[in-house]
Amino acid sequence: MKVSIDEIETNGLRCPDSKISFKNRSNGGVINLLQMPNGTGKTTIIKLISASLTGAINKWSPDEVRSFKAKSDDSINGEFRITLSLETNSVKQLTFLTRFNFVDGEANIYTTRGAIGEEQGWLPPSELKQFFSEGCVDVFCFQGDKTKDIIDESKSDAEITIKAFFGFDEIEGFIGDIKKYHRDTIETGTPITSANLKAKEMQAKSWETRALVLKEDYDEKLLEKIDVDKEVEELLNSQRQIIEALDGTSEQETLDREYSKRNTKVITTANECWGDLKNPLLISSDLLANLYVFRDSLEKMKLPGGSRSFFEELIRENDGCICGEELTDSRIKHIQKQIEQYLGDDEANVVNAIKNEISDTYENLKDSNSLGDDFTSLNNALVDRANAFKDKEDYLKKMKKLATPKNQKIFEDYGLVVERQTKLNNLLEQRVKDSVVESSQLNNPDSCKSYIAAENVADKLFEEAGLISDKQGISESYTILKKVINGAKHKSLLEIKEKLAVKTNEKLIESLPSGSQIEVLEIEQHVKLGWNGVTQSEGSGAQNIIIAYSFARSVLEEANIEFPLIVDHPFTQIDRKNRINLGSTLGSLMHQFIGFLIDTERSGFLEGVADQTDVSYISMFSSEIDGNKSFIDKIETLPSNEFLKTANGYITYNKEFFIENEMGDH
Amino acid sequence: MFRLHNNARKWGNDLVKGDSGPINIEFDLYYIFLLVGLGLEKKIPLEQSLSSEIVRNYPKSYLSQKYKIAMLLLYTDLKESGFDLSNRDIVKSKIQETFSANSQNHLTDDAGKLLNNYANGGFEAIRERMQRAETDGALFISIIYDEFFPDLFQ
Repeated sequence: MKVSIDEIETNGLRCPDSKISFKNRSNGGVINLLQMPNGTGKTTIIKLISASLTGAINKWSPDEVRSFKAKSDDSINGEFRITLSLETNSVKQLTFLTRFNFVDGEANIYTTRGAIGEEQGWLPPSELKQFFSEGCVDVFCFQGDKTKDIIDESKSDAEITIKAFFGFDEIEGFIGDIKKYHRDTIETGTPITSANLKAKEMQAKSWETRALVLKEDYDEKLLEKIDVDKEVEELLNSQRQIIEALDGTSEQETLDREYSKRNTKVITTANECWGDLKNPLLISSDLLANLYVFRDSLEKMKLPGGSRSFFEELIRENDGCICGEELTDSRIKHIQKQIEQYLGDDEANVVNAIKNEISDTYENLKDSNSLGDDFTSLNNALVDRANAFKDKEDYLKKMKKLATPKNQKIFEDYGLVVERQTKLNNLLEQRVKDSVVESSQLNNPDSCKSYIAAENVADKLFEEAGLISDKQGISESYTILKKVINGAKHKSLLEIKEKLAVKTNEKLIESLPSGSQIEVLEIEQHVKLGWNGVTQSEGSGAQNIIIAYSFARSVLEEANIEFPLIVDHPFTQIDRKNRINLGSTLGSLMHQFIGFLIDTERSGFLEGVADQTDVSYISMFSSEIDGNKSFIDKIETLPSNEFLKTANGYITYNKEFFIENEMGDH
Repeated sequence: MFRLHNNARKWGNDLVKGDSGPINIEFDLYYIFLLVGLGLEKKIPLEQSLSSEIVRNYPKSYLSQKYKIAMLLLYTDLKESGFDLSNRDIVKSKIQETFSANSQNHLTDDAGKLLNNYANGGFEAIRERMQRAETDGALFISIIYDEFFPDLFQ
């Protein structure tokens, strides 16, 4: 199925009242570029698109609902409508309309599906419901710096996406249901032995409660983490701005670049060392020499020597000895005694393979000191990196000293918030750790800090309780069913990840400039990048974006569904050359691309897309902001059928207007 | 087949999860422990109940080393047991105890357990000198190289 966005309409919200039509066509890709000055409501629109598709609006608090109210508008109501076209054999329309009541802080969704009229509620067609989850929508609706989340090792975005798209969330829900059924059933059981069933159930319950408490804490801390991460980012930006005002950007950038260069060198050299270390025969020249002597000794001892199976066959066939004599009983006994000295074919094959490997390594590498040389380089690289880090730290200290007392506090706050962030990350990690609970700890659930571990213990104890009750059969079936489902789930997840890694790499070859040394090494919880087996935490700005888009395309393709790619600030952190390249390939990436961009992202990118025929250039701005006066003057000179004026804004699809008027900060 | 003491897994958890350097999977950690254990001829029995299997067979990136690791185990254990390396009967019997072409890892079950005991010995040797694992993988292997490698297989 192909899903496209036809239109969005906003009224009375924190963005100009408007109706925006997006281009789409049945074959090939279409690029929709929407430029809006900063502060006009780009983020609001993307948030509303995402929340309409996932139905998250239904869960918004009154304050969250009110945060969408137009600042300068006294109206108490607002509306957001998104119309999608769903294409299989025929094209159907699906509309989600959200009506806002800002007085009561309420937002209600209404759905219109094809010929069926408007119905209250978030009611996507059943075949799309699975894909309209947060995990799925996030992969094609990029908000903020989402592109980097896919490759961020501390995040699980890639796995969350895969689980959402390929039905793993439903499987987990199903496991939860059978778990609940099992536990409820066990509680109604009676003991079949003298074992204390009640005590076992109580113990299981106490672990179940502990798991719930820890899970609640985990969810709370996860929300806290969103705020802390934001705070870290804001303080880091403020710190950078303070330094920029004090000393310009060059020194800071040079030190950052230098550190990054040194760090890359450390990683590369460490990987070279590791590559050598993986040949255990190279870790000591004495060892290699001794093993070679031992190999010679095996030769001298005729090990593995002749084939034991040859003589065994000779006896079995009893067709006379190879010397032509008859195989008498005494001769057979003699041979049987002698063949004990020989190894069987299996062991002989292994010994021969080992002897060959020792010979090869000895003859080719006996004089090599590559391991020693590599580790010398690694030690040098580590020293260089430590020095570069110290330079950065010293510079920060120097800048802090030069800053005003108020700004010095920002440096201090940044340090404190980073510390808080680290503690929070450690705690979150602890909460989900699949740790082993020792039997001595079974009576002390409070000692467990992981809700996953506590839940596993609870499950095991319920199973044990089931086995000593008359519900034994249910427990046994539950154990088998759970094992089968989990096994299949685990295997399928690995297979899908492997497939997606291959697919993403195929797309990277299509989209990255030839000779680019970056690929997906594997997909774990994040997309792991590197080149020739050597890992690297991220690529350049452009590479990261292309990787995120390629991963998204691979997931959608594999799930046999197409969605538009919606991106806020698609081309920040990309240099001009790469913007040209990205612009020229964008049309082939997705069937419908919707990018919300500002002036600083245009250079290069617009040249890149210039040759593509299907580009829609949309400009939208508020008429209530003084800074937009020049845009108003210019748009009013266009023929009246080329722009739309609403109560508080303007919108036009005129390409020249888009090209000539750069919209960013006022 | 490849098991680590739960304490060893806990000890190296941050190192394996670290965002840089070559130690990326638990088997990388196992391998370092094993090299040190074999090199120092130090083995400590691994209790089944206090350990867990980290992986059943060699990970892909170690497959090409399986014969060499098997050989190192044979050689080290013969030496550690004080046997004469030129005694054919002893060597032959040890080969039979150690190698199995039917197993994917080319080791018998007993040899697998022995290998785990050496990895456990290596872990304890490292932990004696490094109470907490260095979380930077590059720094970790550099420290291991400087601190342990001069003494291995001497």
